[in-house]
Amino acid sequence: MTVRPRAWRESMTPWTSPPLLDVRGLAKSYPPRRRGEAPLHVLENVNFSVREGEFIAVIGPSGSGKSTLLNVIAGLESPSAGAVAIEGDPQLERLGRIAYMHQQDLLLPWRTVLENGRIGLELQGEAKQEANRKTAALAERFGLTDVLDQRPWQLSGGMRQRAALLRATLPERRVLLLDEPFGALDAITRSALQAWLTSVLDRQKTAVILVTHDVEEAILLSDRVLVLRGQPGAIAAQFHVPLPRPRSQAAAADPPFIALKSALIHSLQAPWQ
Amino acid sequence: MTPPELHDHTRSPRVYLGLIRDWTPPALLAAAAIALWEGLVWMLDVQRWLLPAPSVIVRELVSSGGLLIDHAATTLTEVLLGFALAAAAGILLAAAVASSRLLERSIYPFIIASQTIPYIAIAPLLLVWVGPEITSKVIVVALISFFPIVVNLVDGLRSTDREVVDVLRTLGANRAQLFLKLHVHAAVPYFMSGLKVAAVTSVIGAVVGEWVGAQAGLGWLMKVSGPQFQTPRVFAAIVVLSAIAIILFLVIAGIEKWLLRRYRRNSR
Repeated sequence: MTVRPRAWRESMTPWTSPPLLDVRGLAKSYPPRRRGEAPLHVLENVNFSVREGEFIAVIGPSGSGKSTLLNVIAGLESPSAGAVAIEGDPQLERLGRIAYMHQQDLLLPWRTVLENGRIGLELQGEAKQEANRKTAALAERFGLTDVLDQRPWQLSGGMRQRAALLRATLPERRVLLLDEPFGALDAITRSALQAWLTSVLDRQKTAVILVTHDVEEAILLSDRVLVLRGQPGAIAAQFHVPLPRPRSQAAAADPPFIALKSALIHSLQAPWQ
Repeated sequence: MTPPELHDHTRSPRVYLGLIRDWTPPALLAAAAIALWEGLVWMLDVQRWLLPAPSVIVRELVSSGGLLIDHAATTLTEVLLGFALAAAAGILLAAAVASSRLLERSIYPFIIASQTIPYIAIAPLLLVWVGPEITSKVIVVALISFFPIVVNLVDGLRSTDREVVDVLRTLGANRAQLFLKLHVHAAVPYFMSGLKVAAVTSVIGAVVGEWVGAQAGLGWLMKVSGPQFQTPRVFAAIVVLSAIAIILFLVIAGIEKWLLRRYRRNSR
């Protein structure tokens, strides 16, 4: 199942509509910190695209450049080579067009949950009342209504991650990047939030790229799993998840799930250049 | 949101017990030191122009109360004006330094160098330049006090984690929004620390300014009382000066506590 990038790109079916997000020949390297050192190549020739409503998981060992990949896609860092196009346009400014949620909640301690949640709308210049109304409405779906007036440090880790996702999703971007969003949580909270995430995400509109090193999480949540490996990191394989979505935790006991999991683990551990 | 009974604990006996526990040791220490001082002065029969006993100082505080209040008013005016000037200049300078590397490289060395100037040497010049009125003292106060404000505020404006900045950037924040919605708020605890230090140094600045040349003020009163062997008055002026500094400090600490009630970690 391990296929090199070039091969799988050619095998990809041509989309009926242009992909929502298209990553082409992406490379990222950092100049050497000191003279005499070699530059640090983090990513090389990364290619993939994401369609509307698609949920993609990128899995790989630490140091394979997963977070760097998301930072470049988000527009926080510029690629050393290649391009990222949203809606077919590689020139389009991606900051402010792609939602991004991190492993830490990174909420502002002096703002309440409501004030943290609405900050994206605030930055767009939306009127405060309207922003508050929208925030409160989505907060209800997120189960945050009771804590809207509390500050982040009064909440549990799970609630803080919900608030962080509320902030990320309120401006209604078409692409959502998740960088190990539940990685800092305990196992019980994590699985509760995984189930919850599938229920709150608007499947029709949002395309999601989830970065994780949790194989089960990747299979449970995504339509397609990309394996990022090597130094510099490149996409070593991709797997379609042939299970209907949304999936419950019980799906982890299904034979296809288990087969996919062992294939994924194998591809993560197999020798790679 | 918080039910009212949660606030009532501030008036419960436990809090008073806590206050007693916190303040008893320093009060006892002060009482012991004052008693020792008083006893030694009487036993060794020290002349009051050399070292007045605490009881003599207290008597001086009462008998010269009006005089001390008049001069304290002058000093306090200088302190408050200089402090306000220092805060305003400090905010402007810190915003400039934190906003651009070029400005930082060009301005910061001079801000640091300004602290190496011996104010006692420059104060007479100020007197010549701006006259013997209150202005020269206000400038000395501002010169001494702006430094802790700038240094703390620059650190505060830079204290935000890059990841938090990145979150707001992905949400579409421009530079001005980053500054107003993020950096300014993150800097508040640092700014208040700087103000607390500046509150104390500003009193020192006023005394230095008055010492060099003034027509009124506690510093001036000390300067003229010393050579007249009115040592109790010098000590009384020191007590009043300390009181001004402590009150100023406590007022700012109170504002700080009120401002930081939402920050948790930084509010004690």
